[in-house]
Amino acid sequence: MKKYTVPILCFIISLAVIGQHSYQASGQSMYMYPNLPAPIGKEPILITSAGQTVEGGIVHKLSQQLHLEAEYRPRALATDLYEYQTLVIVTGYSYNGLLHKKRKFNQEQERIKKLMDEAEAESIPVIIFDLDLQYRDYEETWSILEHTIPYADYFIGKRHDESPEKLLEMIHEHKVKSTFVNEIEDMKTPFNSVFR
Amino acid sequence: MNQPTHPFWGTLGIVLVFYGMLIPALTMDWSMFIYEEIEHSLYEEDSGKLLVTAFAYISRNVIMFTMIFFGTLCLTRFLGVRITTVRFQVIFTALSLTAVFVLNILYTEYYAYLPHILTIGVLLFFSNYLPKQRYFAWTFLILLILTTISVQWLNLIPALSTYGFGTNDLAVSLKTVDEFLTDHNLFRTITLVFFLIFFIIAVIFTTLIHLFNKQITTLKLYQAQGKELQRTRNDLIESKVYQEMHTLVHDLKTPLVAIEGLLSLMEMKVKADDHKSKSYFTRINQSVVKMKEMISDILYEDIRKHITAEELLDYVMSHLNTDDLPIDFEIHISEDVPPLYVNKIRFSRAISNVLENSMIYLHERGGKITVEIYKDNDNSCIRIEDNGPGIERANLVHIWQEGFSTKNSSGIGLPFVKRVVESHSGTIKVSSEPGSHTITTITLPQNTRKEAIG
Repeated sequence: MKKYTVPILCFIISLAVIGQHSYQASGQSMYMYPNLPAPIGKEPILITSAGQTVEGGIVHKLSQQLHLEAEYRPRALATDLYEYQTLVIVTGYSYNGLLHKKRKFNQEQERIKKLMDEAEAESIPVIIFDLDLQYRDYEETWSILEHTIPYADYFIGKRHDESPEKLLEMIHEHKVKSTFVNEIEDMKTPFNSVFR
Repeated sequence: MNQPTHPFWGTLGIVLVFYGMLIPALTMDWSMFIYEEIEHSLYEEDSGKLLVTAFAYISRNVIMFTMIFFGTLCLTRFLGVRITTVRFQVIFTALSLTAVFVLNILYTEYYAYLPHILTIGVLLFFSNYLPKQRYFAWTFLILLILTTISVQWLNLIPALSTYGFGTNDLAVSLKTVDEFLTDHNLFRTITLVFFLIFFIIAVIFTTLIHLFNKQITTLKLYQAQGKELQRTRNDLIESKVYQEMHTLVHDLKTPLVAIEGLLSLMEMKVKADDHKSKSYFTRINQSVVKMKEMISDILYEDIRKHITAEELLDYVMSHLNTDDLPIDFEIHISEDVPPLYVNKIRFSRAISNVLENSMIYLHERGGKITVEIYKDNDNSCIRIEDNGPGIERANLVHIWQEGFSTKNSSGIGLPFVKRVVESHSGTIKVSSEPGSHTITTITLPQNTRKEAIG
């Protein structure tokens, strides 16, 4: 029987972790605006990524489906902002995304900070998208959110099984309007409400 | 190298863990390819391409984690920990999880620990059913590959993301794009199917290996029982033969006594001047006495008498059929060899057995047998060397077992020789070089003679 001790221990640990996730996921409810009551942004839109995940491309696809005049520039700089009237930031840290764009995380943070400063200086509305914070629950993702949420006018995110307390606190603290949806497809409604 | 503590396994373990951890750096092009393909499948809205990318992702992870886990297995075995113990399982688990931890520090890809804990659990559970024999490492490797593939597919099941599966960068990217393109319909089914396929293969593999091993163990048991039965049968036959021989030899005494008595009567009737007849009677009498002695030697093992080495060897050679055999016999007897104090019949039979063994292999191809008798300190040594095919090293340890034979004989010859030599307080040693020669050395102490005289 001794020879089954460690395998059984591994299964118990696995079940405990799964059980903990299920417990945290149950009984949580959030009440948010389904969309903005009036538009806050104008076209053309600059969509950029903060953390270089592939999700930036998804938001670009959503904008295409909504027939919005938007451009996706993952490495857009503060100097590029003059052409646009709304800034959409897709947050999320990707190790491979940064490697692919040959950037270091510090450089990415610096770029985002300058972009945010420029948007504030130019009074350009900032919309933040977060598609998978629950799974990209990395230290770097949180750092990106800390740098972007204070400048945000509207936050569109995925509804999580585990309610991210820290995110809600940041949103409340900086009085950012927010909408959480169940599926990516559902993001189209709040995204559209920003402009129409 | 067959020993798990051999430096080869330690070195292999370190190399595998080291290179396993370097896989993300060494295969950066591969990672970039996966990332680009995820982007392309998104832009082209091609879920087929996304599935192919998922295969590339699984392959990369399987190679990386198989190297790491197999490396930690080699290291654990190299540390001298027996694989059947809990200590082995604990050390293996600790080393493997430490390796994943270091991997997450080196590269911020954030591999989840839960799938790896599950992989280790499944692996150790299944490995309990693998035979802990020579090929354990390789069967473990196959099981490891199958388990890793199946658990890696779990990382891409969208419903399990909530429970901590597939939290690393590429897995999240794949699942998010899949949600956008197919609303998780693609990965929900395909990944589950692949997980089940490989998991079932792992179960079948373990079951087959386990059953096969059981079958082999049973077969070995039957073989051992068969050998034991054969040995007992041989013993029985031998004891019956000895019994009958003893009865027969004992019965020979009665007619011999009659012959002896009648001879003395007939001798009395011979005329005093018939010298020729008298000499015949003397020779017949001598033969009868010799025959009586031989009968006594056979019937009573403890009977010993002095016999010179030449006489013993002459007696042995006279009983061997060496005519027309292409074998050269070379006999050397040192002058300082004292008379041997032995049971002539039994000891001669023992030496004959050794010589016959050599002759069996040489009677067709020819060869040379050298017999040397010399004095070594207080011992008399009889050394028999032949240039036959020799004995395999593996068989050398079995030659004293009764019933063991490589030439379909009864296998009681050499055990008999050993028994006879040991009953004379002597020792016997056989050394052989396969394909070259075999040397049998019988050593008889001289002091046994003195003790016997005393």
